[in-house]
Amino acid sequence: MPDIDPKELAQQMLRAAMDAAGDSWDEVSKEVEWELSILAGSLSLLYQLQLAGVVDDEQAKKQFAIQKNTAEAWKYTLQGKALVGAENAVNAALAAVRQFISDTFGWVIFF
Amino acid sequence: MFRKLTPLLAVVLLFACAVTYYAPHDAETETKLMALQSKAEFFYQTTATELEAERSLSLETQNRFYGETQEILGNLQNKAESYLNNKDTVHELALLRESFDIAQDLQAHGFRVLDEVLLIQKAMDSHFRALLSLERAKPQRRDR
Repeated sequence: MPDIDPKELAQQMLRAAMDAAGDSWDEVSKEVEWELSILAGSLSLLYQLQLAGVVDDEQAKKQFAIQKNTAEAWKYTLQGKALVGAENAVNAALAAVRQFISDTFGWVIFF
Repeated sequence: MFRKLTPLLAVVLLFACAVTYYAPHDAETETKLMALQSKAEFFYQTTATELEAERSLSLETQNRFYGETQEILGNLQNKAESYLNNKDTVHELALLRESFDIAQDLQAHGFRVLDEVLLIQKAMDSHFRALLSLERAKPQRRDR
């Protein structure tokens, strides 16, 4: 069986994450790059443990499930941060309009 | 006169509102997640230390840790579900509970090498960081 190259695996995961994150990528890139490199290292280690017979198939599957859950958690964090970023952008635009109305008509709008 | 003002009033009312796509930041959730992250870190460090000394934590100690962890995460999940637009955190908490369930099962059958503990410890720590990163990014609650 071929060896897993953690760096190559991390790069593949990174490309997939960048596609998923879209415009919000710049904001979260460093954080996610770091986490994906940890995850890739863990998957590589798990593979080696299984090859060496230290963990059996059943244990490897369970360990893999934990790693997969962590990767999914980061996917949800990326999704959530993208939505929060969109909310901040829209609210900043609304605040600018409120300021314009206040300056132009002299109306103070509370929210 | 009123007809002419109506569209303007509508625009004013529209921009008077702030949009909320996302649940607000919850300080209590953040504090409890940080406490649980430290507790889990300590538990797996102790597990590793015991394994190095060719011992293992008692089943009672294991069950107590995993039981308390599930209870805390269950409460956090209920709280997360009570907010609108908070499904990402809800999913992440459900996944973390599942991971702790699997880890409990693996630990009950015994670890042979330190790397097995390290894999779980790193994954759990990263999972907590994902939850905390999202919680800290959420908008602060606005008090009117």
